[in-house]
Amino acid sequence: MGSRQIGARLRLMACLLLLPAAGQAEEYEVRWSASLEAALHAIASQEADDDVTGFFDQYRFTPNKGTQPPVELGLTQASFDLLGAGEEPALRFRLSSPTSNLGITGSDHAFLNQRAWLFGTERGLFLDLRYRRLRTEDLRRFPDPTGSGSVITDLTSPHDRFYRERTGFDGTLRFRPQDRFEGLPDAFSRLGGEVELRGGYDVRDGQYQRRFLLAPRWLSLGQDLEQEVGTVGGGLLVAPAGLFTLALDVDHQRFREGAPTLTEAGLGGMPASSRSVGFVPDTDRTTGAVRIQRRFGERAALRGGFQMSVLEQVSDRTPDQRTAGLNDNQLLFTSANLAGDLKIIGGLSANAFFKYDERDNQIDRNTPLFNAGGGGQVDEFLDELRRTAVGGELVYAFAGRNQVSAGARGEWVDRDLEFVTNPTSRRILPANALVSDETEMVTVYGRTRLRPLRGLDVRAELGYRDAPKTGYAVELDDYLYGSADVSYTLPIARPAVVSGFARGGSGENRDFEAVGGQGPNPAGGRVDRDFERTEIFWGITATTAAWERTTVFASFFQARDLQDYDLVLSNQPRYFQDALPLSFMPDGPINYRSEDLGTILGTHYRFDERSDVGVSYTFNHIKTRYRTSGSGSGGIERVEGLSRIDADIHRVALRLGHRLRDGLSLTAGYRFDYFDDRSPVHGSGIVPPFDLSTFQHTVTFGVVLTNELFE
Amino acid sequence: MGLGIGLAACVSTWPTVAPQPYHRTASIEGAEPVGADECEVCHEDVHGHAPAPAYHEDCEACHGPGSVHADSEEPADIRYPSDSDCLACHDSRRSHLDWTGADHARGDVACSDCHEPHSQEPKQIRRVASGAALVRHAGATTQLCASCHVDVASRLELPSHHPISEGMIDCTDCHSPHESRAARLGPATERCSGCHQDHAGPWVFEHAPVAEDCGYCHAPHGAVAEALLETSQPGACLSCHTLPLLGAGHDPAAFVSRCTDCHSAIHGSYSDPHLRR
Repeated sequence: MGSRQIGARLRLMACLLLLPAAGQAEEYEVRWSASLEAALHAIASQEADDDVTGFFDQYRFTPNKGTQPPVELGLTQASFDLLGAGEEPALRFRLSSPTSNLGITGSDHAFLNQRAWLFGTERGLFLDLRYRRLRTEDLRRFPDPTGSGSVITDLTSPHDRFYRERTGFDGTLRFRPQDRFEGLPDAFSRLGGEVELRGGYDVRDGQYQRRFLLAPRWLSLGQDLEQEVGTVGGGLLVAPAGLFTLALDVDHQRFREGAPTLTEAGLGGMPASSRSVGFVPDTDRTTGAVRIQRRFGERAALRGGFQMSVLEQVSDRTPDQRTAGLNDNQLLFTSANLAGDLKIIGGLSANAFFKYDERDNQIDRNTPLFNAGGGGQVDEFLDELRRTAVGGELVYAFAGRNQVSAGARGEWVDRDLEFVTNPTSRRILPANALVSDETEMVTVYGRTRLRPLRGLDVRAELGYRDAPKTGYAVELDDYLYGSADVSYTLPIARPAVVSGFARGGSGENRDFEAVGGQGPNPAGGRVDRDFERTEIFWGITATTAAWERTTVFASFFQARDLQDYDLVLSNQPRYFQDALPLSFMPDGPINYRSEDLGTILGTHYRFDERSDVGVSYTFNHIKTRYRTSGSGSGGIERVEGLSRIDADIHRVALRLGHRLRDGLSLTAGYRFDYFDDRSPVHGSGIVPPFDLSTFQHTVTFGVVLTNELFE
Repeated sequence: MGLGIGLAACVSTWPTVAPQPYHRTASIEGAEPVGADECEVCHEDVHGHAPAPAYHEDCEACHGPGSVHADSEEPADIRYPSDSDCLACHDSRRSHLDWTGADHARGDVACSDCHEPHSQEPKQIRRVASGAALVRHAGATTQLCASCHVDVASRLELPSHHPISEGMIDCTDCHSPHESRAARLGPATERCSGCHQDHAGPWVFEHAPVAEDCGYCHAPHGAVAEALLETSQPGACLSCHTLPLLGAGHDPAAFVSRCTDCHSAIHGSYSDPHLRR
């Protein structure tokens, strides 16, 4: 037994699930650990309020901010292992609570952001249970009413928080009879079967801020969500005599939104309308799949599969649906794939894949919502989508684990677009649709992974994509891309690694244009809608434990996104092209620039066998900027002003640990989080403007216990 | 804070782990089986784990005959398990059906690069320190992914991100490391709609990109713009859409805010073809 294999020996009668087939009691070894931690927060004054969602609350909600001082006490980590003979794990439990609160300051938000796993294994039975509870929050957003001419009605309260809480379980139970029962008929054992049952249940509640125009007012309100998701499924897997592996799976998902349906009339819309607002449908999704894999020794492998899925609206219908008699609303997805690998000779091998996807929107379109004008369909309707992808690659492996490869892949998308046929309707005509009916893309690439020197690992890819047809203006043609990852482990006695990565790509789309004129065959002026994009992303990282007691980590990265295209204005919305002559005008180039750069510096120092300290500093700078110069630039600049992102995030962390004795350690830590935001902010008449710049100081004290304490 | 918490996890919890060196997987010429008892003479434990948990039978089943290594005690004289060794037993698993075509397999990532067969961790996930340094509270799986996919890990701290570095979801909640992204069964939207059912429809009036690929508008690993938008508004919209000067409130002089402040049902609607409610 190893030096760390210390544990209390307990004689346990296993529970029914873990009951050994032989019916004998087994001797188990128990190992456990638990970390209790208290965190005290000091938060910038404007955010030190339970009613305010600050930047850091979006992902790390701090309960009880209104108390002095806010305190969290939680079980941040726990584990429990039950090990059988030969240290074979019979039961493993893991708990992680990045944010939790046992409620000592009176919070009703206990155990937020918590996950747990339970794994059980016992001779042919495998149990995998997961639990998750998490909360995310949305920042409150308001528009700038200046010059809009709109009356803004804010129905939210300054005390509203917009959040989602999600609590769920899911699990899998697998059963392999040949592993559990001895003396099974040989034919059955050779079948290599496995039965799997799956299930889950997830509850989500909260509310989100909905913003929309309800003429003549611009409205802000909190819309509730009360969602339930239940899943159940199962599958059968057989591998008869190892000839092939066949898996059959069926899954059903039930999604229900329990929040009441909002209507314009209910929100005071004038004239009163029964149109729904933010309606989320109840749905059922049923999926069936079959997959097969055949391996031909070390020389070849073949894989294929077929999947069909139906997503259907069930239960409640909106008032509009009921009025229109629209009851059937479902999507049918079909997918098939085939892939194979073949070792040709020596280090030369080939692989190829084929994939086909189809999406069929089976909604009943014989209703006034689609072709009768007056609030019905306006733009193109995507009736069916068929996507085919194929690829092939030649790979040459040499001198151990070095390889170079060259390949090509293609993608073809065929869309059945239906346009409104009623000329009395507002309708977008095919000439000015934003989606085209076909995409064709072919990419060729070369790829390598080399280990030219001991410790040096180089991966690189260079590719070029030609896209004769594109479906959307942002799909890139004439696209050249490359990536490289280099890692070097220094030839010294202690670990030291320097690594770097670079990604880049640049392409354009010149397929789309706006066509002026009137009617289904407009002959007016044409305006190009060319789009160009270049992305660059690189970084370098160094990690070393070059000194006996010290580990140092440093990382830097920078990403840039450059997009250039013309702003195209029109004299009327595109859906008036039947009734009025449409004209388009290029209004000067838009240059969108986004940049983020960051660095992480840290060190860990071990004083002795009992004590250590970790310190780190993290910095992120993020910025976006639009530039435009045309007649619409005033408006765009204003939108840019509203949407501009310009911020720095600083984080400092320090943590000390000291082991008092085996099984008992103490920790103390300090965190400083600072968000420096230079973006414009707006309030409503009800809620004052809220500066997102904020900071938090957090001091933590913890104790870590393990089973060794009681031995 | 990323590294701080990552290193903090080192404090009294687990030691810093050395980077994974390159190991040979080729057979050792002339080696003969010696039996696990001979191995345990020296290998009392392996990185703190039992040398051969019962479910892995014995050392030489995976490492090959060990006589040469037992005589020389040189690390180079024992081989490390290749994927074939692992698949000899683990092939007929649902999650491994597509392994030979998986992106990781094609990139010459071995099973043992991610799995530590001697570990008692769930799924034998290998513990790494460098990943922990990049993602704060993330689970062991995510830290392992981050140790190689540094570029992705660096996105996880952007202002808009999935709560991965906070430990609430893992990379494997969306990705299967054992399969090919290109040949994976199912539509491109499937990964997202597994959690975001309320954006999946079926809508009466739908935004076309929603029907095809969420990635047209969203950057799932992290974004500078809110709501994981790859490009902040109005650019995310104007790169496809033209802008009417008159009517429908689109006169640039009358802009009030982001596009989605009016078109709030941007994924789809049951009542408005303009996706406003």
